[in-house]
Amino acid sequence: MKLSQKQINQIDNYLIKLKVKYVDVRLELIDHLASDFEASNKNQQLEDYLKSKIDFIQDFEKKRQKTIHWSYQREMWRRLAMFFYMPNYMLFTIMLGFLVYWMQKLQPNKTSIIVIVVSLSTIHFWALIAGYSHHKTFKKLQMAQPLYSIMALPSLFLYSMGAAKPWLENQYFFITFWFFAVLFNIAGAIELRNKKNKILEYSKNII
Amino acid sequence: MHKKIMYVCNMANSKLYKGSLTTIILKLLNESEKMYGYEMTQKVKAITKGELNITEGALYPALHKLEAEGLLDVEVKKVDNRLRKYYKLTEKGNKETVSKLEELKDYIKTMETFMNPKLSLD
Repeated sequence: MKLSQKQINQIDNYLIKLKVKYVDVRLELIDHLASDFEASNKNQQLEDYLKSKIDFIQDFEKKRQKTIHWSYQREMWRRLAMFFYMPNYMLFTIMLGFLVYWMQKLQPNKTSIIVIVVSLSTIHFWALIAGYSHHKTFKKLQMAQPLYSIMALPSLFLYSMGAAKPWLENQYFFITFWFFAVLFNIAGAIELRNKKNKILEYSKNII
Repeated sequence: MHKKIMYVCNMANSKLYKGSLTTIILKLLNESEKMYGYEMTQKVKAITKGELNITEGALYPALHKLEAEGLLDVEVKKVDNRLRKYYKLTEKGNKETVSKLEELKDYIKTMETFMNPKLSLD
């Protein structure tokens, strides 16, 4: 016995009542619950069946959120690692190393600090726009929620600059800090862009 | 003697199967072009004649993890008044399946040798 559109809507409304607000989560849950109910005991009322699945429903959303968040973080680290072993990326890493060293040699520290702040802020500003540019679509999808958190670790470089000021006067610390700050931020920005495009592509089928 | 083995239950022997869930999913998808979550639970039940029962609470976190790791790709289609999310292997997933199955074969072989040492010496 296949469920009618009215019964499917009943499952959807039940999920909304349980505060399952994301479309991508509800989509998979509705199909699973409907398939299971169709195959299970037909004497049971749909509402009673749904009540018996509350724990599974609530766990489903929480676990998925956690999995997505950590997978985004892992991807950011993988992207960063690419700058040290992928030939195309390594070329950039070497050029960046020379640029940072050369600029630090040419410029007094104060100017260099301004360059760091401006370069990192530019990447962050772009990430902020990218994260919020499809706000209406993204707020309906669980997979889009941890998108901006990709930039959480790279942003630490920018926010810790005040605290790191005494050490930044040391030339070698300064070069290392600048070098890794740019790499982390670029790795984060690339991942954010890739994930954003993937989510937008996926959302076309479900929203 | 047959015992029904379930994932995420209190039976001690289910621990032996917990580590194989990923391999089971990858193997299923390797044999079918694409599958949806509920279909996987039913297929495992049918293949093992009800001996192995993958619970929904164990299946979906594993599927989401594999999807997040880029081993699975998803496709959404409208079926029976609702949307259905199908999972299929990516290229990376295909490679991982081969490696996981090899690993499992080696494990089974080692365990067989361990359980029947006389037989292997012959």
